[in-house]
Amino acid sequence: MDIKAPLARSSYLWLLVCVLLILLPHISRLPISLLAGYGFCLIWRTLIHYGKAQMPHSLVKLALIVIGLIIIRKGYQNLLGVDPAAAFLLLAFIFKFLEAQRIRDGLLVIFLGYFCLPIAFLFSQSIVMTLYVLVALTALTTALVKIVKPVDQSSGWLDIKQVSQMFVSAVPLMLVLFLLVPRIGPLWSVPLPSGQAKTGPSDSMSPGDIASLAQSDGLAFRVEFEGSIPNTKTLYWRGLVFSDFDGRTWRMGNSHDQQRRSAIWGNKNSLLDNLPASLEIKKYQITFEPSHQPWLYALDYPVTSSSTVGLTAEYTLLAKGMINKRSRYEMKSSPSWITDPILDPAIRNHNLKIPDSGNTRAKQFAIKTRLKSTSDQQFVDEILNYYHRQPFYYSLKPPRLGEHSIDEFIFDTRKGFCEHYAGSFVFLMRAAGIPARVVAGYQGGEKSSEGDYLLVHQFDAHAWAEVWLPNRGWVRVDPTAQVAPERIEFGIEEATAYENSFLSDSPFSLLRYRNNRWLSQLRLKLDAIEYDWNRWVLGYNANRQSDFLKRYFGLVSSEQKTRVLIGSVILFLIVVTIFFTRKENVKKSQKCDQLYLKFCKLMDKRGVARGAGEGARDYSLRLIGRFPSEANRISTITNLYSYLNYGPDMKDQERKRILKRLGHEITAIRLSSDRTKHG
Amino acid sequence: MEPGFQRFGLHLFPQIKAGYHRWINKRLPKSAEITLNQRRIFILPTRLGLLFGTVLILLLLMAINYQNSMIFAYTFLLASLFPVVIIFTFRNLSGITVRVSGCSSVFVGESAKIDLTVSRADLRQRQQLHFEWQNSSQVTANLIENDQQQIALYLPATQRGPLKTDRLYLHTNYPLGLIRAWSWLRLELHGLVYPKPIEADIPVRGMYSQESDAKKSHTTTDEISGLRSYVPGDSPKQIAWKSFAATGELNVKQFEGHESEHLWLDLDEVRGGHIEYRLSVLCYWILKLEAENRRYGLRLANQIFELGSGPQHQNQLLSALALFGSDEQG
Repeated sequence: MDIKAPLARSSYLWLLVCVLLILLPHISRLPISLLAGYGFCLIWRTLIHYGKAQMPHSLVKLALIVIGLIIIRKGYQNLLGVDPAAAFLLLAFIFKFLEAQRIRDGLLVIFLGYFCLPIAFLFSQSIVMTLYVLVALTALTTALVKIVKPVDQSSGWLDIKQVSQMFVSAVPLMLVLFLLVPRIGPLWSVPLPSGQAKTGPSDSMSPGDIASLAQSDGLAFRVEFEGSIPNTKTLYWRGLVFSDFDGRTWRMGNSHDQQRRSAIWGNKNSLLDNLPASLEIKKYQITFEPSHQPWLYALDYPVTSSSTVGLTAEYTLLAKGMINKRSRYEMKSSPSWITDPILDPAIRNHNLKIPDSGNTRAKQFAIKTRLKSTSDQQFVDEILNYYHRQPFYYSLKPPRLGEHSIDEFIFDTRKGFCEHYAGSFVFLMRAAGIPARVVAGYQGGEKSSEGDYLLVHQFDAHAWAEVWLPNRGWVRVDPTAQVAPERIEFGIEEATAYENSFLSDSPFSLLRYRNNRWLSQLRLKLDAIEYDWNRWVLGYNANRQSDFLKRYFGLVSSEQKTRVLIGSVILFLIVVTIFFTRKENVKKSQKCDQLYLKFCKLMDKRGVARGAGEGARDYSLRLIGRFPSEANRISTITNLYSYLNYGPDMKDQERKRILKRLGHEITAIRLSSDRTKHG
Repeated sequence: MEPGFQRFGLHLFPQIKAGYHRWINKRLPKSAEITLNQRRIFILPTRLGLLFGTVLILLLLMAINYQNSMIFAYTFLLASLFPVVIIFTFRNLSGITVRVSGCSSVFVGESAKIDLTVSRADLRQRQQLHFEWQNSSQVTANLIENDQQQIALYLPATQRGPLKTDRLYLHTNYPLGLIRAWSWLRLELHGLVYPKPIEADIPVRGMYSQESDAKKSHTTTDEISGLRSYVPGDSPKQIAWKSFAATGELNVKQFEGHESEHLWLDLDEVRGGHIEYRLSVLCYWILKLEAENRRYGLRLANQIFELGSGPQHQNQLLSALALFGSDEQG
């Protein structure tokens, strides 16, 4: 192969397809200006291909590179991140494609492509992405084949077939390497993909925030319980506690930093050890999807912490940093634990604060009602009753609220989503002198098709209230349950069925069709597959590896593992070598003769032997005379045989087809002879 | 030309190279028909293969640093591709039979055309089989639908004698260009290289110098002294076609002339020059006399070739010139 020879025109199209396939997964992430630049280069190269433009002058090339770098510099604040690095690699890749003229350039494009393609995995490792990358990898390798044989003689499909065959043959060794090659930790620290849309509840809550979250069918996390999955009604996944209110927005009482400092880290069972042994403890494991936020979720009330999961004073969980990749943690919760039996005065004051001005109707209403009630508990019940009796509606599309949002909601609009109910409820409590706060998180979840784990989606996002009652500590109260009990029992879709607003922004979401049993089954099956994928394939790290090798192969020491690895590789090489260099495909004419001899032998058994030197035609006439009922078959066999041996030259495929037919006929005649024997 | 040698710097050690060549020659005996098997096929990664390895290392670093399972899987898949490609490249070459189906004899300075038949005994597709001789261009054969293919190679003939070849370099890097499988074919050729014709005075013994005029008149007058019956090897130009039309018998015209007109070319009569020059002059005259339908003989030191004419006679004499002084002489 002369690498300085010009690139064949047929190679160009393959390269273009590869470039597009590699670019496609990044389109939604790249700045528009950069995309436009990439598009410009691709169009230019295509014009060159059709002879309508010149190769770029080296000064132009330099200018293009500088412009590209400036766009990347402007498009990303942090030049060291993954996104700008990916954008830069793609830029180099596309420039190389633009100036590809010789075979050497084409080869470089391919090899840059081999390097750029898996960058997509940094952003998504889903099954769909994996299949996509496999397709692109096949195209890239086929393009390499096309460049290696410049004067093309065979069709592209044959090459794709050959490339696929090679990849399929490589898979066993790939699995061995994947399972056995020791996974070591990162050699140096690298920035992880960031700047992606945050998902899940954020650190503040205004009316409408959670309602918009409820329009998303994204997965928040999965839960595996030890033992049975508790009743949906009791599944309150607390994540954030809001105790500051400015009249419109609820915020966290402490900043993230403060929380992180005050949280309990690492000391795994400290809280648990101090609890009475009679308390009911639930154990579960959560696989958490990347949210790009630090909050983790647990059932009321989490009692353990670890080095990576901190437990705050408000009984919420916190990760060390932003959760940018799927993570897994084990948790224990105690539903009946009395938290804060004695409330710290500072916390008490904090949870009683409401703005001095505004929402006066609500304040007066709260004080009046409290005065009529004999106890805090009765007051709570009164207010819940109020929500229940008055015409409140649960809606994903509540009307906009003005300056006095609480007043307007309680007395005028009366249409709202959970954050309206929770917020107004906590406001009324505080106005009446009862410490209360808003808790945001998720409520409920969906059982997987096998029923062994629980799926919690973004649309399960929920907000509820917590009031502090003497001797009972913090008590969870969910005013939404008064208005729309089906929300708590059956989920949001039931609760909003009357207004048909569930997932109205994503018409193609399979989750919209939960009522269709078949679709529902399909969706849950898909999720089960994805769950296993995440757990077994993507989550296969050093720990998993050593567990796996120990449990299934009894391999403990690294020496044993190395031996098995080397042994497997050698075994693979031997098997593949034998398989691909075996004596395959007896020479065609031999195959034809073999089949005919088989036929003669068969006929010999039935009493008519072929005479020495007797021609096939004479023999067939004799046979037909003896077995007139099978005249058709006998003459077909003879004709096919003669055609194969003495007919015109034919293509391999046709020859194969005829050989197959000959085989069929002979089998048929054997079967019929067997029948006559036995029947 | 010889992959591996330059790359590993072995060409700096002549003894190693000589030993290597001896080993190759022993391993690859000379033959007119060669079927490639694992004994004859050599395999090494190409430069592109080494680059591929570098990409693999970079990918592995990316997978390790990002702890990304799918990049690990991707890297391992590409790494596993490597041994598979070795086997695919090997089997693209193995099972191929190369046979010399024709070889012309030429004069020094010309290129000998060597016809090769490349064939397979199985149904496996073969692509991009490159045949290459030192300093000659590359010829590519493909066996896709067809079971055999004819290719023609041209070998410049520089030295008089039996046509000598280097080992023919047969290589392929199909399918991915990462691996090169190659073999050397030591083909037995039966072609000869005749001396390059050089014009000079006719090297005939005695009084021949004035004969050139007589010779001219001879060809123009075309006096026929008689007919003799046809012997295979006689030139068709000398056949008496008129008498054939009349009698139906093939006869050859015999020209009138003295014994002195039957030209005995003699090596010793060539004036001056070294042996190659003198053979070249003889060659020139053999061609010239044959073109003029003359009868001629040749004295080559102690070899004597009787008078005659016709292509067979000419070939016999030219072969004698080609082989003169070599071991295969006679």
